[in-house]
This record gives sequence, structure tokens and C-alpha cells, in this order.
Amino acid sequence: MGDQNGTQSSIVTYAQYTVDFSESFSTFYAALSEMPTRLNILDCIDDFIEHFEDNGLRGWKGKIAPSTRLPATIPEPKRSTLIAHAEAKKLWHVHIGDPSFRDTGNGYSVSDGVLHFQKLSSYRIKLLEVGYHRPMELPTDVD
Amino acid sequence: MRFKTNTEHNHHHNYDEVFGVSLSVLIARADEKSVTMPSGLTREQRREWAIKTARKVQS
Repeated sequence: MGDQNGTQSSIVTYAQYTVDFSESFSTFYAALSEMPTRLNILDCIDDFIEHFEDNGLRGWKGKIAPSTRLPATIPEPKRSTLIAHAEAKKLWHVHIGDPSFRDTGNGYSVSDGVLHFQKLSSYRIKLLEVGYHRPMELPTDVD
Repeated sequence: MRFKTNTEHNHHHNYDEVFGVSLSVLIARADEKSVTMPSGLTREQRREWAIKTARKVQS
């Protein structure tokens, strides 16, 4: 293939970042969308979706971590089994800034609200659930 | 306000929770069918898509 000047050119295609919703998450997101008052959490979810569509996970201001760091208080072998399942299902979570971000001083921010997702690949995620950590308890993945 | 996708969550503390969601719930969510979000939508378009998609899922 050549251009008007006869020089060779090639078509470069870039992998597209793709976001899937679980059926439950689809229902949840739709319910938020239909609320007469727009809630902050919906904008936080959209902020992350739009960032992922443009950049993947790279560069997001909130902490992103695999969901395998369970408390040591879970008895064995249950704990190891749960961790194995979380790894097999590629479960991750991302801090999305609801109600706000807090700087950790470690190059990323955290928030009470997180979005749980399945990291199917670097280019594809499936959104699963929104969760919050209890302010009176230590979150399991704060460094 | 705090939200979750439905009422399956236990109101008591579950020690397999990751940020307020039981790992077994997350695994179940991961096993659900997926709907792929069209790319490049505005927020309003995405929300319209989600409402139509959820109605299809529920029907």
C-alpha cells in the first residue's frame, strides 16, 4: 500500500479499550441514571469509565488494586480458597472518588467509594459492583 | 448515600468482604452475563443506553 507520493505506508490499528457491565451492574447504573437528582457516585463512575476508554487503567488518580488482600483473621483454608477464587476471577477494585479523594502521599489517592471490576485484560474490564469501606475499620489495602 | 446493586449483601460484617462487598458476591457478579458498553458515548447517551439495556435484561 502506498500514498500519493509512492511511499509505503501502513495502517496501524490500536487496541480499543472496552468496558462491559455485569447484568446487575447494568441495572444499578440504569437506576442511578433514572434518579431525578444526579448523584455524585454516577459522575464518579462515569469519570472512571471515560478515563479507561481513553487510557486504560494507566494514569487514573485513584488507587487500583487486586481484590486479593483479605484479612488474616479469615480462617484457613477458607482464606486461601477465597484468594484463589479472586485471582481466578481477576477481581480488582479502583478508588473512584466518592465522596471525595484523599491524597495518600504515595502517588495515588483513595476514597471511601470503590468500584469493583473484573480485569479481563489490559484492554477490557467488566464492572461488577460499588462498595464502601467502613470508616471505623481499617481498609484491607491501604499501604 | 451508599449504594449496592441489590439487597443480597449481608448487613452484618462479613470477613470475606473487600470494601464492603462479599467476595462471593463479586464472584457471582463476575459469572453473570456481560453487556458491552458502546464506546465514545457522551454521559447522557451512555445513561440512555444503560436504561434501555437494563430493560432488556429485566424483560
